[in-house]
Amino acid sequence: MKKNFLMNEKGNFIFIALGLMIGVVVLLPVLMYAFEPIDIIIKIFLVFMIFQTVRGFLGNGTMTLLVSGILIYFLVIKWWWIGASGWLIITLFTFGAFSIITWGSKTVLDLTKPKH
Amino acid sequence: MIPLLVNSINPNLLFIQELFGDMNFVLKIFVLMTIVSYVTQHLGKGPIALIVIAVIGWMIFSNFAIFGSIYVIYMLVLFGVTQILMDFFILAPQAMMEQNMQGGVENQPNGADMQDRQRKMMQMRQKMGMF
Repeated sequence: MKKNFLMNEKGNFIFIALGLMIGVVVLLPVLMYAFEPIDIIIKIFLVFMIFQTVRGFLGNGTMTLLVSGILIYFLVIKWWWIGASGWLIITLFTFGAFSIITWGSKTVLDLTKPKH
Repeated sequence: MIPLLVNSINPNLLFIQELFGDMNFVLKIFVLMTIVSYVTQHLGKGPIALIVIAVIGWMIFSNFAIFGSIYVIYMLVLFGVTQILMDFFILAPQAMMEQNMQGGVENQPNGADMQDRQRKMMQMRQKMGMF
């Protein structure tokens, strides 16, 4: 095996980029757990997002309220960390933030630089 | 299958089974909403639409392991996961190529290199009698 495997090869920036992405995504549930105001704000965002999405599919009506209620129970109340992480992943993908992380881990951070 | 496997490896991860079941249910709701939205857009809200929704729903939910996976892939592609794959597959070979061209050693110019180069240039100019 090579000396300092995974540390001095530029090709392994994929692992660093993936690690950074996971770190960014995990950060939100950690912050929600640590600070209650963030928890409340993100949950309100999630409720709005879910209701808006369901209304986009089904229009205004009783079914929208019913389906929104079910999804809010699962994604905001029961599995809030999955809902928050999912929402963050979707938002970051939409804005192309993961591409910036990939590019940054290769060029700006350059954590794969060999240790002299 | 996957939750059973996880629980057989580590019984402390019992919540995985519950999580998997709940997320499967949530995914089914999203798939159903997509079907309802697609059919009502094309056929309105009449009895034909209801029949088509029922038939498509039955076809999809009877083979949900396949169609659910396809729906997840479709959503990931829609949100631009392919961008990440493209970044990886373009940047990784490029980085490896750079490394091979440099003989496996980082050779980026830095402040010390620049200083050294300027000093050598100054010596050459002095030798040539430019100063």
